[in-house]
Amino acid sequence: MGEGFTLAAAAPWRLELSGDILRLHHGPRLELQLPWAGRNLALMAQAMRPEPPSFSAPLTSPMLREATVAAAELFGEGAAASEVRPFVDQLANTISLKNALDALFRLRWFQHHSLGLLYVHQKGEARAWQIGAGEGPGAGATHTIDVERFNQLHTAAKKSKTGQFSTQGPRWSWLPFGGAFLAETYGFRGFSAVLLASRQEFLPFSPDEVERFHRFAGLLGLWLEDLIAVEFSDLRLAEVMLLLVRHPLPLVLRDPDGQTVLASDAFTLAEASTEPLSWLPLGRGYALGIGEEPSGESAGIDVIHRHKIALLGDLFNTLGHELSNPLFGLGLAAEILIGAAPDVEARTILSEIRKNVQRCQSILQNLTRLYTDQAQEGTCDLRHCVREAMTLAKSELKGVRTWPTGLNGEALTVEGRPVLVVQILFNLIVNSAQALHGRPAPRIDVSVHEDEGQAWVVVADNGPGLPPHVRQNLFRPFTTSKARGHGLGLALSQNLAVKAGGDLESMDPPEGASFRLRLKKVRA
Amino acid sequence: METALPAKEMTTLIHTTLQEALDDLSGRLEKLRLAGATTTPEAEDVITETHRLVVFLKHAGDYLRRGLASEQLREEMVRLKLHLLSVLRGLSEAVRAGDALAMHDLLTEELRDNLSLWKIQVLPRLRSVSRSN
Repeated sequence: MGEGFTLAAAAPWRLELSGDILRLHHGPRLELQLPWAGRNLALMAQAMRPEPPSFSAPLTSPMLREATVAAAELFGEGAAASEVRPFVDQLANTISLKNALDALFRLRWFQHHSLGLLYVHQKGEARAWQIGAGEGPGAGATHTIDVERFNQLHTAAKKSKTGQFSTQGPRWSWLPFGGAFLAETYGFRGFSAVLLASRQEFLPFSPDEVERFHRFAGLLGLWLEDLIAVEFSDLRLAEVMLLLVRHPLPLVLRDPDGQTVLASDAFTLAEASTEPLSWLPLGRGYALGIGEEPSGESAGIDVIHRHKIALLGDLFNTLGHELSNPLFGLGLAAEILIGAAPDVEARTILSEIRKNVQRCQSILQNLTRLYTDQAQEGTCDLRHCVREAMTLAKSELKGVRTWPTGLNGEALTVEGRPVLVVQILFNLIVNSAQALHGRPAPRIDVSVHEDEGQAWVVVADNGPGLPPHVRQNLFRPFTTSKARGHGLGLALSQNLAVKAGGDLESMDPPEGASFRLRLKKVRA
Repeated sequence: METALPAKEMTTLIHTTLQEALDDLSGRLEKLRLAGATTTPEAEDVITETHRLVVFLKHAGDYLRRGLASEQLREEMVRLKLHLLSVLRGLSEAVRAGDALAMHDLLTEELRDNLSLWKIQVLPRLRSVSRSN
């Protein structure tokens, strides 16, 4: 039903799109199923476009055109050109729920509404998300509310003819504002939402204001399904993108202008001579092309292994969600017990527990932030980070001779959050230690250096070194020389280094492997 | 709907397909409501999809009549299907007459309510049938 199946075939491979699910078949066998990839792939591709939004998206849908015209008619021709159309274009060009909400409440007619809130509930969840617009009360931060409260609000707003309410009385006392407010409901597959607007005063809204609110809330609603899908699935989609890049089939994702947004390695290698055989439309003008199956070595790449890696994204999300509460409880319990500890030894052990709980919380937070564009601001003592990373990697370093140099001396302050820097160094040291298993006289040199503007750490080992095929794509995800490795460690480490304003590179020594992490020094 | 699929798989398939179809149609109707646009090609798509849903329901009903579903469930399905057919008839007439107001009411009130009832009255029972078979 619905849009049905759309197929793109490059025998014996076949791509199939059904709603949000993208499937890849090889003959009669289902090779790969990506539950988030379908429509969302187009949204992610839109986010990846290098150029800023053009604000000139054509109103291709008749329904959207009609809705835009109707909204513009409320304010006259001049307003249509100056405000309504740019607002619609902003909605078409953003994939951020917060940006869309901000755009709505930046409109001239809503500026006197000091508060705009959106509540989103995903089916089956015990809590609903609250997202605030602009800079007003409750804005910026994202909170959650009980599903019972959300249902109460959603039902009342849906049944109401005008969608106008007041916080007077106990019914809406839990709302983070007071006074009259307007509400619009949304209901799509898998989620429902309520949008609220309030001036934080008790005077009722005029019929014009009510109509204006519902008209523009309706326009926002036309994009809400897509925006929420992206908001709640960006990590998974990033994994899907990586998976497509590394897929052994020639796959290429193109934008409405025919520009390549993303291409698999196999496509890049074959592009000079081959154009995709068929195209699978993904929506928003984006299309996924599939080429002829490559012959030779790459045809045998383990698709199932890559599928498992894609699920890591799901795993990170679930871990973050499921572990944060017990970790918080553990940290709190340790904190309480420290105060009541009978002796120094117990206090030391409890402090160690608390410290490690905090570390786990930081790691979880960082995992979920890996795919965001936020800069990782902060500073740290590089020497201290090296010492901490070596302590953490102790169990991996059994039987390995470590040779640290440059660790003594004053604090060497560099840009980068300590947790991230330690994580990079830990990855490098553990990689070296694993490469040295079974090698004669295993040794790892860790040295700290500095010049005027930068400081760097070199981690070098006397292991087998990097095979040429691994060296070429060293920092690309899923590249590994280990039999059971995921090939994510170096990719993530480089990602973290760049986010800290530095870089990570392979030194290509005559013997073994060597990596340099470079970070900016902070001037005193 | 003649198939070699075992009863349990077949009932599960009916349940899943109906759920997907209802979700898809509800989503389209919600967008029409939010856009305040019920005379566009998107509205005509909804009518086409509703026709397809009725055809599917006929086949599903034939299959379930073979003693797999309870009498109560079958009666409920017939009642809702008749209502759906009357909504469809109304929509066809409204399209022919170019009656935007009637289109709006039928799509955003009648059809929407009918789809909600399928979700509330039929889907849960169909699900328990598929589990018990």
